[in-house]
Amino acid sequence: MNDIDQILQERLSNASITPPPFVWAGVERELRKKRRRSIFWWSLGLGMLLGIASLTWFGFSKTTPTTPTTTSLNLTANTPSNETHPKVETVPNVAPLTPNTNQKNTAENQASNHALSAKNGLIAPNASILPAISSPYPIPTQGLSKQDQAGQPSTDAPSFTASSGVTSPQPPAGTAVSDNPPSLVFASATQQYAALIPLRSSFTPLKSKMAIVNTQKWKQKIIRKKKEIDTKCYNFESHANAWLFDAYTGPLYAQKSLSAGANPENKTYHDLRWNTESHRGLGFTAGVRASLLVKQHFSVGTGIDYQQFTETFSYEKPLYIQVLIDPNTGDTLDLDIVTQRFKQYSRFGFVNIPFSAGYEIRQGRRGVHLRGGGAINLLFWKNGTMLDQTTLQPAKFDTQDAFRVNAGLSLIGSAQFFLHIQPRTRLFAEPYYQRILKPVTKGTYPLQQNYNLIGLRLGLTKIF
Amino acid sequence: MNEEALIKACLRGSAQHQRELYERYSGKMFAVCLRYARNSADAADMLQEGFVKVFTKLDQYHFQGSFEGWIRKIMVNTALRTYQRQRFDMEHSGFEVMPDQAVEPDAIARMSEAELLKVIAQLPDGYRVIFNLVAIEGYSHAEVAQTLGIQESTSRSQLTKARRWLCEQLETIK
Repeated sequence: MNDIDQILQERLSNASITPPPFVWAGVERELRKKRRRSIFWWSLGLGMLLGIASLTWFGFSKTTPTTPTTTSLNLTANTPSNETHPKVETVPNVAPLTPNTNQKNTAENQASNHALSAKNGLIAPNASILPAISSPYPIPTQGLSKQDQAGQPSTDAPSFTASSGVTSPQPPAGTAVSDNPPSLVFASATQQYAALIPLRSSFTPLKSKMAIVNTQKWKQKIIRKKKEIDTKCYNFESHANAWLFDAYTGPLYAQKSLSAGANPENKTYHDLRWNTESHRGLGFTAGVRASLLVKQHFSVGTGIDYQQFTETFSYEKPLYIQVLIDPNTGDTLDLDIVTQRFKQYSRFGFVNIPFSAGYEIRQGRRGVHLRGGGAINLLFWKNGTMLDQTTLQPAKFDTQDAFRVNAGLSLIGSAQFFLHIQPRTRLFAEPYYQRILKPVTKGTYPLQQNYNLIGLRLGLTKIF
Repeated sequence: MNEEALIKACLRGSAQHQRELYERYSGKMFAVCLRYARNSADAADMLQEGFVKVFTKLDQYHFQGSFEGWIRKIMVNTALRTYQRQRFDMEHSGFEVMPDQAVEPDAIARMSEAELLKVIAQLPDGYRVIFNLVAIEGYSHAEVAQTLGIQESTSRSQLTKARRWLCEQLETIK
């Protein structure tokens, strides 16, 4: 019997038959279509990237600077010092640091002064301990030049301007500046920005320097953190009421429940459906929301939200019965029910108007916004196949009078975890739970089909 | 142009070389499709779909193993997907008598390949797919069962019936 296999394999495995000429035309057409489609998706992706980039850029450009800018400080640096800085104080010369206890205390005092000045709004980058700050011009290592001491602006010495954007004002004429370092020069607190730059000493002992560095490091960390919060957080204290606009998308998980009720006649149909359909669906959610934040913490909001998920319907369709009969005896040798399994996808979509009340807790750039509320269903969209209640055969949804036109009311709860990337821009991840209160099936339908939805909204908030 | 250079040219998107590759393999692949399809129109559709896949997935071929084997695999998978997609109405019902007859090798030798393919095309869909996979492509019953989502015993039984059916047809032609 297997000879036929071998003979046919030999004859057919390498057989070659010229295909009709239209096949290549079809291949070319399909490839062109695919190319066009891929160009479309790439363009869409690029467009979205550009959109996000412009949005981010827009957010950046709207940021209010809280650190001094080079421009404003350069002006002060280039103006004659005795006129523009009448209040610049000079700290009495500190004795040169030598490696003893008193000097350590002096170093700590210096550090404290730095911290104090930072606390009072003075920004005090220390040229000697901030290697990242460099000047395009040489910073005097032995105090100020004689010209500076005499109040003569040096032609080649805009030495009070640091390239980092922090500038120290020029000391006034006649200010006692010693050649003996280290001297501390405080800028006036009456000016919006001030700088504190200790003159670099070439002979400060290493241990003392290290002490300054260590103490200073963590204090600068605090300053940096504070600056970061200042530059990246919206000031809710001065703007207690604000509008929050969210745009989001993310994955969705739908848990289905199917109930036959008390009627035992429905049990068979229930079991058939339950065995041919998936009990959970996966999909996505997308939407926009506007919330009004009042008294810094409380919010009310609404928006529009779309959710879609897909379930599967698997069915084994009997094709025919195969009966094998012995021609000599007439006995039945074999009997097969030949079936074909097929799988189809059913899709459900909800367009909802959510409404919520919430409470927001913030700490620094981060925070949590808890929301609770409901949603009114505007559109309940469904497309798919399930077993018909009367024929028990697969039938499209639209041929069956099973689902309600509208899914009705839902209850929703969510917790939004956000991070300010700009004062007016937040990124957020928001897990949520939604319970559709009534069954999505009609009252006349023998089974009750309910849904619980769990999703994750990932998005962006703009604050106005 | 050797095969590797031709594939690389196709990867660069050269339409001329894509045409050349198609012409090199389309005959053999059309014969494969004809074995799985009910008729030559279905086989042409399978061939078209298969070659579109070949060109779009060409970057997944890593120049390991036979390129012809790789294309053939794509064609067979395309044919199987087409078979699974289609919902055949009841083609056979009632009783079928399956004579247990041997076929003379000469009967097959006298037939052309196109004629043999026509006979195979007349097999019921289930028989044809399993006969092709097992007898011609060399799949095991376990692989067929996994690929088609059926039981191994069903695959064996279908193959037996396909053989009987073919013997009967070839005997009639003789």
